[in-house]
Amino acid sequence: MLAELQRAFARELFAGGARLRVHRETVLGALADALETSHPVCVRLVGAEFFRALARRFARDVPSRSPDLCDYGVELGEYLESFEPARGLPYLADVARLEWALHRARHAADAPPLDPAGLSALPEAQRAEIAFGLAPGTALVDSAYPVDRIWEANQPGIAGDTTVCLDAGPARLVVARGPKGASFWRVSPAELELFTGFARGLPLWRAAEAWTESAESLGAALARAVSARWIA
Amino acid sequence: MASPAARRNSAAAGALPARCGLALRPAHFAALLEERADVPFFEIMAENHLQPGDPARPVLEALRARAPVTLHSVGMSLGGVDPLDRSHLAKLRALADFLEPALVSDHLAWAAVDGRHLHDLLPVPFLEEALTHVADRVARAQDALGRRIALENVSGYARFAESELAEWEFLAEVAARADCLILLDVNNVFVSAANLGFSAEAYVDSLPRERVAQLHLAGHEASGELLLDTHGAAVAEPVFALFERALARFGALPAVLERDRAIPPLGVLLDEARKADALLERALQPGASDAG
Repeated sequence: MLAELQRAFARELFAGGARLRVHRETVLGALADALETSHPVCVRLVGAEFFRALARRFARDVPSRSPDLCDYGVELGEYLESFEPARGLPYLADVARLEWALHRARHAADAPPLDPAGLSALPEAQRAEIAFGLAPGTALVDSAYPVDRIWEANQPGIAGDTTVCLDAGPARLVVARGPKGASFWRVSPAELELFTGFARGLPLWRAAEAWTESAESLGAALARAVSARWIA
Repeated sequence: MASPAARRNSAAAGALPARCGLALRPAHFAALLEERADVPFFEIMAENHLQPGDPARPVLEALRARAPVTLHSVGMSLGGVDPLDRSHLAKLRALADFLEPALVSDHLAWAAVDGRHLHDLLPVPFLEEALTHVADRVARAQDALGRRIALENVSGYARFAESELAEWEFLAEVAARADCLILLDVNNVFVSAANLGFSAEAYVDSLPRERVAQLHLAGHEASGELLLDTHGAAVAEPVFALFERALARFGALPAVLERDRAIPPLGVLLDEARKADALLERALQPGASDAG
């Protein structure tokens, strides 16, 4: 009976109606607040009022699966792909993905450092078999839009020319924890593909199969990823 | 004549002074780190600090070195029917092991059903059946945390027609069966009494003295016919009156002032806490309390 009463209560809460209005406002308000906190650039791009309405609709449609509000909102990028009222801003979904990745990086554990000397001491055949993964809080963003520039132009207190040309080209980014907190770094198409292979758990030789640049540049890309602790 | 210490309630969390502490909010991090404000203890909102790389961890470390803390959760869903969230409890335990709080608390409420988390403190139907269920969950949560829990009464806006017991009867009985403590939020009692039509005084007067370990103070706001527990205003005078009544019954207990909306500068909150301190001090005077 307890379970049935609670299920009925939750159904009534989302269905509308005056009786549970206070609870409905608390539920939708808490989830919308969380999305605003994790997506400040999206708020700025569409305006506070539009974002609030969007966040409340998202909160009805997409259940929270954790008691920690910090975990809520991973689906916002995908949700925005088909969110009709925002169709005029085709880059919004990828900005949300970038902000989500930054949000996760901000709250992730520090990655343990890899030992570059130990890696280079390995015989090449063994090194090729290593399956790196991405470090906690590291994510890749691959967007057809210059979401990196859009993000930078929409930071609080930004001065000067904030015009972003949407044809400025795609953004290929590594989002991670850095020495000054969560941030993103631009990488080459080849690097993005390499790291995507790592994210899928491929061994080095397979992740680097499509590497068309020099062996030295592959070594440099790996060294960069190791020293920045993007891979674990 | 009893010493002031002897007039403190036996259930009162050990390391805490019988004064009014503050619920820690990010809005005051900077002021708290800069000014060495006189805050007797901090209440830490658990679900704000469960991420592995919690950016506020250095703040917690600094404040923890300065004053005792309590750990307040809103996420255990102790009145819920979903299985207890073991991963959440493990994170809470790790945070508690780090903070060594004088008290851990959560609510007599549910917050999730069928895996959907609602991030609100929803009312439990006060049924005999629920009594056994909730007491068992509290006991299991206490085992998982390795600590006793203080169960807090929530603000009420809707009641279940099916309820068989009064809220205070239910709360006292759960506490007895689970052998847990009670965190009495006097503002929630006031708000619920107004919204649901019962006597706030009768509620306070009926709770078992030996279980109530801490008090909560906060502000509410009116919205149409209802009072809303917004934590968005100063503590109302009648709530202070109810607080005094609670002190007379339970003795001088540690109290926490909570503010979540329209957050004023730290100094304003500290002034409000000092007002509660004055009432606590009065309750410590010989003969002021009937708690013994």
